[in-house]
Amino acid sequence: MLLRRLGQLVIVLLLVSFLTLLMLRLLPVDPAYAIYGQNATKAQVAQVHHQLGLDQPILVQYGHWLGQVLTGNLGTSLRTGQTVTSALATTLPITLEIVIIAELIALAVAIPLGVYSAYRADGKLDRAVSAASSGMVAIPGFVLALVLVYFFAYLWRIFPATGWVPLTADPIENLRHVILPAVTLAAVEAAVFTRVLRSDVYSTLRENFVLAARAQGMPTANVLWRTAFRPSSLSLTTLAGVSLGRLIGATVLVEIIFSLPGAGQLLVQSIFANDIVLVQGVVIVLVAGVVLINFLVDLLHLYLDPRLRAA
Amino acid sequence: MTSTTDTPARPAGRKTPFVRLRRQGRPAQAAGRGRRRWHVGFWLAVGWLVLIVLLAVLANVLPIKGYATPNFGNVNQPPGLRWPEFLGTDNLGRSELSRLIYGARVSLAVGFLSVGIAFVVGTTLGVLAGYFRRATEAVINVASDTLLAIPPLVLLLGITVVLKPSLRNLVIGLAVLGTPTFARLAKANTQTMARREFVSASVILGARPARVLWRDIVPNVLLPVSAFGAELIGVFIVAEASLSFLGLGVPPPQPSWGGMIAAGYPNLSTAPYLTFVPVVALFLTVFSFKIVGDRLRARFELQEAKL
Repeated sequence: MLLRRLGQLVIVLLLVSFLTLLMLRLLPVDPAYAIYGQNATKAQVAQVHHQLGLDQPILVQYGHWLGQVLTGNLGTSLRTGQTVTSALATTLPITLEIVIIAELIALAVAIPLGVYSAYRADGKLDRAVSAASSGMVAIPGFVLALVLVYFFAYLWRIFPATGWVPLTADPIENLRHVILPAVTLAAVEAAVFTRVLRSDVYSTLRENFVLAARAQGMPTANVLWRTAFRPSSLSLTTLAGVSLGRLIGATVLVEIIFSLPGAGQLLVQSIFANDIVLVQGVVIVLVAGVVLINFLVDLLHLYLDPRLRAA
Repeated sequence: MTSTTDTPARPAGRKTPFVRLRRQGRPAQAAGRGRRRWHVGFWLAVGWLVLIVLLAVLANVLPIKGYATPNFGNVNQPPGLRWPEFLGTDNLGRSELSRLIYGARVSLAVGFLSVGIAFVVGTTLGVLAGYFRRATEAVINVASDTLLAIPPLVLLLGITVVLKPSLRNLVIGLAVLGTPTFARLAKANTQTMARREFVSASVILGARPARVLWRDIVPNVLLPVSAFGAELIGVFIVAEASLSFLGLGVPPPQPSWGGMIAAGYPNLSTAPYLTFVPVVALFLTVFSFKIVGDRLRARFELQEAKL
């Protein structure tokens, strides 16, 4: 089971990287123009092609690129001369910080709401939460971002609309800049988490062992948090992992809206600049991250639910 | 044939015993109230979608100004009780109403066409993979896993940049994006259907695979898949808007909702209506598609329960 998943993981990564390479070679814009501008001479174009190996068969190119990647060399940006790894080293932490904080906000909102609305099923709060969460799921991320920016940055001036302050420079300012993007990302996830957790806790509360705990006279809080919550958190952990992968993709737009210098911003800029080496490097790192997270979620699932190990 | 179909497999009842932690509200009444409200919401959603589609289709014959007609004597008007510019005008004096309606054309065309293509291609592949299994399934699995591994927006950015931004290429990009999900959904549904007695009966009676697929399996797979499709139209309309927002959508002067939002965003603090008119239209449309999709799914689950 584990080996098979690992095999699939490798195949998917190889296919994705090959597809990226193929797609970028099909670009209607020649990368030579990205370096020398519109007036590049034929000799310059040929030289760039030779340098990038574009004059070789696609499989040879791929093999060469793969060899480089496996030794940790993702190439050098065509425009800035910066290596892809160093470009990622400055941008990726920003993306990761937003994603992780978003995930934490989502869980912090979803866990109490989910458990409480399962406990008081059909109560006022439960109905309000279920209405709010079905609305939340339908709100597109960037619509929410614009609404948040309008109210919190322009009308009330609580949080800044754009920009970034590194965590090392000023932790408080850093947090103020993270809040709006993170909340934007967290909203949908929180809605989904709450729904799933509510339905899981709801069915767990009807199990025999909960009745037993109740009969022993355990206080309600203990029944909810110790007895019922843990066995109900299985789908939540899976979902949280999957959503981490989804958020990595979703930050692209959020980083643009809030002009944050993260990996998504880097990707969009390099796409507009026809910087194919950089695009390829960023895409492969992001995809590898997503695939790896999904793999780890599967592992976690195997650990949490022994029944799956047999399959 | 009939005797094989009417052996209902009763679903296991609710897990017993029913432990009450305090009182449970009044479930019957609450459910009744919920259903009524649901109906109103559903018809409002359908009404909004019909309105938007009609406006988009009839845009040329409606008494509104052209979307690119500037009016420099009447710029930056906020929305108000005025006819026909009750949604205001932008910095060139162009009618927001007209731009919204023509923009709806782009959004709806992209949504319906891309989901339509993904629906046909994905469902076909998924049904084949689910029914024939083995090599067909393996190939389609690997292909869809690969596409699903790439973050959607990244894949979309890649496709639209390689093909140059235009309406047609946007549709192609989104169709590629939607196909693997349809394929997975159709495959899963086909596999459960293929195990049903009436399918075995059909096979035993000597029906060829083509007939079994077309007459027994496809009609049963279509409903859940199309419920997902309705929701996906909304999602893809948002995707179109996102790409237009990044400047990778339909090129100007053709208006689109995402393009309008992008144009209004720099002036969010001074002229918020330029952003929020298209944002509200976008939200209502997406929400409506979601409600319709949910409703279709609920109907499907009801039918499923009767089997």
